Amino acid sequence: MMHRPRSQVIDRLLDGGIPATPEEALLAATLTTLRSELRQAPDPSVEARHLAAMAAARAGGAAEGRPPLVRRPTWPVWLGHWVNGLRDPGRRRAAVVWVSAVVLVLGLFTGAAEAGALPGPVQNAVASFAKHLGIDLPTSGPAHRPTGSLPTSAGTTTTAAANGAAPVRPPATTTPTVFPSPRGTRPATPTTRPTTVTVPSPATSLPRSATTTTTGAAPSPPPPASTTSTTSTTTAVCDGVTFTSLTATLQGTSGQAVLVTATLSGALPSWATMSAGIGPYGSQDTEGAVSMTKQSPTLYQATYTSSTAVPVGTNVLVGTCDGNLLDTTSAQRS
Amino acid sequence: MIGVEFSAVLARARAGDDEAFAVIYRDLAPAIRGFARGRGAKDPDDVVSETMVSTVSSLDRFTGDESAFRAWIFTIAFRRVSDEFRRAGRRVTTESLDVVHEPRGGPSAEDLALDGLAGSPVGAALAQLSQAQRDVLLLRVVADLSVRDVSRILGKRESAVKMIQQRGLVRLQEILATEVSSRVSVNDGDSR
Repeated sequence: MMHRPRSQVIDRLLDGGIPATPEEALLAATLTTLRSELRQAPDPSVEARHLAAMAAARAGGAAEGRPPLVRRPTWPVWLGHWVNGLRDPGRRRAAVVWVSAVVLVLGLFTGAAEAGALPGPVQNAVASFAKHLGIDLPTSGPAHRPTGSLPTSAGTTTTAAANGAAPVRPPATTTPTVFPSPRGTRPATPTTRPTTVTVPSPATSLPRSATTTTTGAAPSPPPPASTTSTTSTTTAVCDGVTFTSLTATLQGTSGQAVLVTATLSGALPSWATMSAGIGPYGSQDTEGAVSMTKQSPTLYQATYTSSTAVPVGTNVLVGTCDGNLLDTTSAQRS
Repeated sequence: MIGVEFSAVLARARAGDDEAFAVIYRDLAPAIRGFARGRGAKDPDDVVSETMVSTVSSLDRFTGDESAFRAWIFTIAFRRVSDEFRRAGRRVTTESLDVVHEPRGGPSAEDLALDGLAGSPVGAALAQLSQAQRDVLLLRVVADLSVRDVSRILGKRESAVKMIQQRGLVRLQEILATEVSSRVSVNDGDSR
């Protein structure tokens, strides 16, 4: 019966240590025999073949008829550890709590963004990001109103209120008209977007809850002809030019035509054109727009014609400078 | 062992340097081949090839020093050989009814494969060890792995690996001594 060697002795001999006893010498001889008998390098021809296969594998191909190696999808290491860790019940519970918390926070955040309840800059940033995803979220501030899509045959269709006071939107079936860019591209000279816009009185803004659609003439008698309008002030600027007055006057007995007059504090850049249309306050979306004629460097006019009567108080938008100078007023009788 | 230059060699290999691959191959191939022979692999060279190709393919995912690298390589080699025997064990073979069947409890696929080493005392001795003893001794002695690495590869506790190692070595010495003495006596008889 041979003496059982201690583990430390085996480790020492495996590391090349010198045997201290005859038993250790016998053990060292056994280890050496086992190593030398089994450890034999492959033939040179086999080695060359193996190295070629390794090079081919490194290159992603196959060598000597071997099928190409299929790489497993590379997962992030942390993800693999995390998934493995889920086998532990404690970690699984923690993961459930974390995921639930994240879902809850995201839900609250999305709901707040949808309701427009986030702080201004955050709301604007979220709305801007969501717009890229095709989601329409409100922006902050008074400039935003939900835009009901209106028929867009320029200057031919508008809404008529049942009682002649409150305009009603037709069904949202068409794409809203946007004030066009005069040259398709923005000017090289930077223009200043409006930072604050005077909010019209409640009576002049479009109601948000329009429920009745009428396509014919309004049942109430049209307003008397020869009306005048209100003037809106603005701080919007285009190359230093602002609106000094903006009027929308209902024309004729039927009230289907609106004379829009805009006066400016100075001359617009030569590339700028001006358009007028009917649409919600603060939006560049209109249900049709007409180009305004330049009467003088500071006076633009246009007659907006609708197929139906235009109620008093309907918002009229005027925009220029690629939408950078934009203001609204309400159509009024004289 | 490559030694202090291991990190540099590994970096060069990752960069696609063929010479670095050759250095790694020449350092490891004899041990992998010896391990495969000792485990009774049918074609040890195939085990070497598959292990090295598999290593090269996933070299970018490895992190650690040289001993960790060896442990990783022999984990792959161990699985290759185990898969080979698993396939061999599942393979259905047909033979004539006239053949006299061996009784149950006959030699395993590994035992049969070790017949390739039967010509040497070491082969004969390994064939008489238990599979666990064979695995531990091959990984410790031929592959030069630590007790901890062997315990990880085999899925055993370190204390169990040490115990198996001690018993296996004693058994191996006894068998080798018997083998050698019997061969000496046979040779003596032949010479007379």
